[in-house]
Amino acid sequence: MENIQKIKLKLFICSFSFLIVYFSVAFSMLMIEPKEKKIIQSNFKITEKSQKKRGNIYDDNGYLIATTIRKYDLIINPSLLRDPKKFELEFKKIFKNKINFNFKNKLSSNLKYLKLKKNISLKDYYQILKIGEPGIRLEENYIRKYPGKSLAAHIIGKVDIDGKGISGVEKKLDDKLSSSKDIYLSIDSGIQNIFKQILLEQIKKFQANAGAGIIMNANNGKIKSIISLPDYDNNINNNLLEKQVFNNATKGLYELGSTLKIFTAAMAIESGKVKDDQLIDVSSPILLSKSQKIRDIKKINFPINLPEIIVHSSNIGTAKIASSLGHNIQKKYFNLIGFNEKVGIEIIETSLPSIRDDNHPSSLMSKSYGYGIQISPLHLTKATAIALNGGKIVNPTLLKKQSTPKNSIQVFSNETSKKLRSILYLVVNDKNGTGKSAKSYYYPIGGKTGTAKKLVNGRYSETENIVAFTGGFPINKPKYVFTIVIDGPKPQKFSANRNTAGWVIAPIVGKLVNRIAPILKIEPLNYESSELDLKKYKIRGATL
Amino acid sequence: MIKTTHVLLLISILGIIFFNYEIKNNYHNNEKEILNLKNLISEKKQDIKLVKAELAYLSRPERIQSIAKQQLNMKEILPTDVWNINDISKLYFEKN
Repeated sequence: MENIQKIKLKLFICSFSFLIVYFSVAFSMLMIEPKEKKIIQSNFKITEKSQKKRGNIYDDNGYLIATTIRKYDLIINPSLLRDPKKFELEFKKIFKNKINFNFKNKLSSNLKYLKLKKNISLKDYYQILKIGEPGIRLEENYIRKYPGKSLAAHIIGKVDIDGKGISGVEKKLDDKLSSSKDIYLSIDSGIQNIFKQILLEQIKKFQANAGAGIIMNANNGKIKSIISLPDYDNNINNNLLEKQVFNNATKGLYELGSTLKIFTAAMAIESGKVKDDQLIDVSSPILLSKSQKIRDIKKINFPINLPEIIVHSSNIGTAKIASSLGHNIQKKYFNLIGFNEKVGIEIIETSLPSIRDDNHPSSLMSKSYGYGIQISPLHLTKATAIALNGGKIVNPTLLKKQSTPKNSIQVFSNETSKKLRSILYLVVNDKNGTGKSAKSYYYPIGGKTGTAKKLVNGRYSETENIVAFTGGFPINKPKYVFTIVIDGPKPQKFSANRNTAGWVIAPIVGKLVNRIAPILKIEPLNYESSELDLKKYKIRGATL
Repeated sequence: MIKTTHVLLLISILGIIFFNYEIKNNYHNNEKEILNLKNLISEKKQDIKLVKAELAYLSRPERIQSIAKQQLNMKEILPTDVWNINDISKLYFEKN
């Protein structure tokens, strides 16, 4: 009996110890699992950069202007490869020799990191994993793409390799974009395209160096289009020329000549120093110094009034108006329309105007017709908007949704603004106007031409011009204002050897307005000038 | 010494352990599947982004314009093509 008892005990101990072993094995299997899972995960999950996904940029109509696309690069660690030759063979088989990689000894070297192929698909990656070599992984990269290519390239800007904005909207609104928020711009891609084509054609026709153009809502400052030529494909980062990347429209400073007469007229009317019908003698040039004279291209032998001075674009008349106003009034209004500061817009490429600041009478007079004052086309657009929209300050913006301040400051009175609109209407629609080739038969346009001698190395060139045109449409109640600047147009046979704004820019203004106004939902008007709510000034010709 | 209850207890413990292991195993398999699907979703999202970018590239105004002009013989809209709806209805009623 005792024997049986002993055997039972031994059996019990045996089975007990077996169970302990069994349980411990089972238990350890359960414990091993999580570790395995981690390995699987790391093989599965692609090494991801901590960088967040950057927001997209859209235009006013929801057209995608900038987006970030993920791509995978194949990375291997050659020092871990067991059979480099076999790997090379298999690798080439997968890509069917469509690789431009020079394998020479690189696979059998002691390198720890080798970018074997850029932009690889996940399907190909799994094929490569099947070769069975260790040390193969994917690296996730993000690249910024601009589907519109050169479309609004200057204002959109660029990002660096780490995806941080370095210019344009990409830089100024980097915080918003890098926190994955999308941005909607007020830019209209369609208008942008039409404007660019028209401007480019004219630049080529006149063999000019560069050009710029802006179309902006006159009341809320929303910019519909900004062009700077020459431009570039935003997807390309290499071999870009300085003049391609430079934003002429917002950063370029120019003496914009007679276009500034608008503001001299505005100051004169607003301050009440010059009446509409006050006659000013413009028959003889003004002598500033022995070498400097203020002259007019068209000599007018009889005294003329303010509207006539602007329509004929008389430098003598404008200079005389300015001298009756004085430095203080000129400075006050230049500051009010924003010539003393950078324009606050959602890009970094803006400039501070450069204005001659002395109390010499010649400074006062020359600034009145646009010499000795360098501003950007954007400054001019903003100022034109203020002059034409009823005198309210507008702040240009590139954003679709931008709250406009309710109580905007009134720079000019409504009455002054109406007088200016009436005068600018005549510049384009009167037979004596300098901008008469800008006329459209469907939309009333008003504007002012400006031709300035180009400053080359501190001296005024006798041959090179900067030509400009600024105005608004429909001029009886302006919804949009625009500015066009062309740098260095050459005289052409078809332009009677002229290279002034009236010949270079005015002809494209009517064409531009006819094409974009329907897109901007402005109804064409079968108009008679007498029906428009404008003042009727009588303009006499240069010879009576 | 070893009672039937002990044997039953042991068997049930073994059963529970096996069952537990199965659950855990399933759980891990499902987790893998979820991870798989998550990767797939992010993959597809990126694909959509890429397709959208390609669509924007193909529908850029420059390209559409040249297609409209050259392939479809379309012309630019003139202001005379734009009509006010009231004018059209007026014209219609005048005719009839």
